Amino acid sequence: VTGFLVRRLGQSVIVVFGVTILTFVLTRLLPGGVARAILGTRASPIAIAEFNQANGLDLPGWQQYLFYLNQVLHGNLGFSYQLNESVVDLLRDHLPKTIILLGLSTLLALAIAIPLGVMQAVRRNKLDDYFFTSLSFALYSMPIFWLGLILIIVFSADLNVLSPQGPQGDISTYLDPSQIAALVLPVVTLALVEIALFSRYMRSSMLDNLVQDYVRTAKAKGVSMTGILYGHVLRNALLPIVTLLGLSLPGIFSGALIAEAIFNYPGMGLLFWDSAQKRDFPVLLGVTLVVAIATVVGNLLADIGYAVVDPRVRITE
Amino acid sequence: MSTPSISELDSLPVLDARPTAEGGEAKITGSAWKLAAYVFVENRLAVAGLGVVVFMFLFCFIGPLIYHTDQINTDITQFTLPPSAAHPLGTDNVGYDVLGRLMVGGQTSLEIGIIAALLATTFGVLWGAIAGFVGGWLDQLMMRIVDSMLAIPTLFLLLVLAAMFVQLRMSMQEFTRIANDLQGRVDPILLRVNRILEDSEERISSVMGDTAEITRIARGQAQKVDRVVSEALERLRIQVIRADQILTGALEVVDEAGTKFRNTLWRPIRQASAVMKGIKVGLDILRRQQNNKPESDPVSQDEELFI
Repeated sequence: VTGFLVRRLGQSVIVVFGVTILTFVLTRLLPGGVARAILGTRASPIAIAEFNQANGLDLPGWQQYLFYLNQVLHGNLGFSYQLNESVVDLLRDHLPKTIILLGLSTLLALAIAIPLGVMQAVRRNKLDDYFFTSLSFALYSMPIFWLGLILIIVFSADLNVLSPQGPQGDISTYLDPSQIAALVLPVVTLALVEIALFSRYMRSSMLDNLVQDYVRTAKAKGVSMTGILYGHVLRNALLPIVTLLGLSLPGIFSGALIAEAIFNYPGMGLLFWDSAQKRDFPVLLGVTLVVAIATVVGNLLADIGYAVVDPRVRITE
Repeated sequence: MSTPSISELDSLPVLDARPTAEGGEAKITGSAWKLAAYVFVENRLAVAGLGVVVFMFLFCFIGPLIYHTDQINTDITQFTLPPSAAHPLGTDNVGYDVLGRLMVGGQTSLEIGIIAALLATTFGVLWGAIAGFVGGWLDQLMMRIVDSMLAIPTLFLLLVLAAMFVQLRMSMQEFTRIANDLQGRVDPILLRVNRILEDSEERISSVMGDTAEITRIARGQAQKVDRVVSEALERLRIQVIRADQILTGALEVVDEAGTKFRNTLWRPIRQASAVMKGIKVGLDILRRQQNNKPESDPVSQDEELFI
């Protein structure tokens, strides 16, 4: 296990460095360079030269990269001149809110998708299976912004029961009843799409395991249907879901970005969206780096979790 | 399809749809393309998918030829209309027919989608094949690069790139604006120059009449200038010749001394003569340059022609 862990960890570290190189190259690809992106298109050549010198931008590329890497390692992701705040401070405000949104919606999605997938697998090719399959496909192929808008129209505009925008207060006020009510729509929107994805995988994973020999053995042994399902099959069927969770992280982040923009939920996605409108490049690249690193870490955790629960991974690796 | 074919999300059904051993194999003859086409046609899901794509193509590219709508001019009197006979899907907020808009927008989506898929397949296959074939550290390196790209969610990357291109476009607009501004400032000057030229045309022609006189005066001036220049050059030439004579004389003296004291003072004197020779060569070059100057100088040539 240690060998696998060390190798996997090493790979992740390399990938994180790769990501920093990519974001670094992106900053250098900015039209007119970093200076023009920050000082604006009307900056004079003298101002640009001064800025370049002050920020080490007149050095050779590899030195600039090392400088950038050093800054990142010391927790300096740049400064937003549009918001007059360092990117790290902005992230400190916005990231926890996104984590709450993502955590709640993913938990809700798993809580619904796993039993749903099990049920569909057990009752495969029956009417209710077809019904939920159609529903899943409808939700899965639905653009998240459209789903969000429909939910706003139905539950806010027509029924007037839920807030059309997410909680606007500080994270400490989230337990307030009005804030919880405001959280419902963004969380449900994200969860619905995830439910569609996870329940499909859960169903196929269950079906894969239901035809295995150990199920027949368990049946022959006299284990009840519920015992087989929840004692044997479910545990094995959950394995691919662990990997899927890790792999779908980029998609979930993207979904959160759109959901936050629709519901005006002041998380990292909305920050990113607003910065993209204002071409606030330090924020854009800082968020990109954080999201990418979160994805790498998520994948790493998923792989490690998989290796812990499934001995076959450790042996074949 | 039998029980193990579960996942409609992945490609498992393709495997299930392979022709069975009894009837299928005999039918498959000919090239790999034929085989692939056969396998494809056997797979009902794949055929249905192809049908959807073909329908989309017909809808987007043939549709506008049958269903004519104005997708260029807005019509604000017809904004956000509900579906009706004239507009089956209604109109948008500036009066475009939504069904026609879907067709036009779908063209772009299909074009981008297909080009992106082709590019992705080409590069992806090459990249993966090279990594897998070579293996070892190159495989590791190439796969880590892929991992790095995968780690950045597409939407985030796209938004960064979009913002960058907006910035680029703004820079371009700024450039165009500056260019226009410059042209705006230069144009009146050019115009004024042109007008002055036009105004002074008469004066110039009257001046042209006096050209003969001017030429005479100019010739006199030029002769004077030429005399001064050639006098100065002559003086310089004499200076150089004199320096040369002195040097040559000095060298002769040194040489004489050398023959006299060859046995005792040979080496230092040789060194000194070498230095002297160096100076002489330098002066020779200088003199040649000075001598060449009058010939190569176009101004003085012209003046000579005048005389």
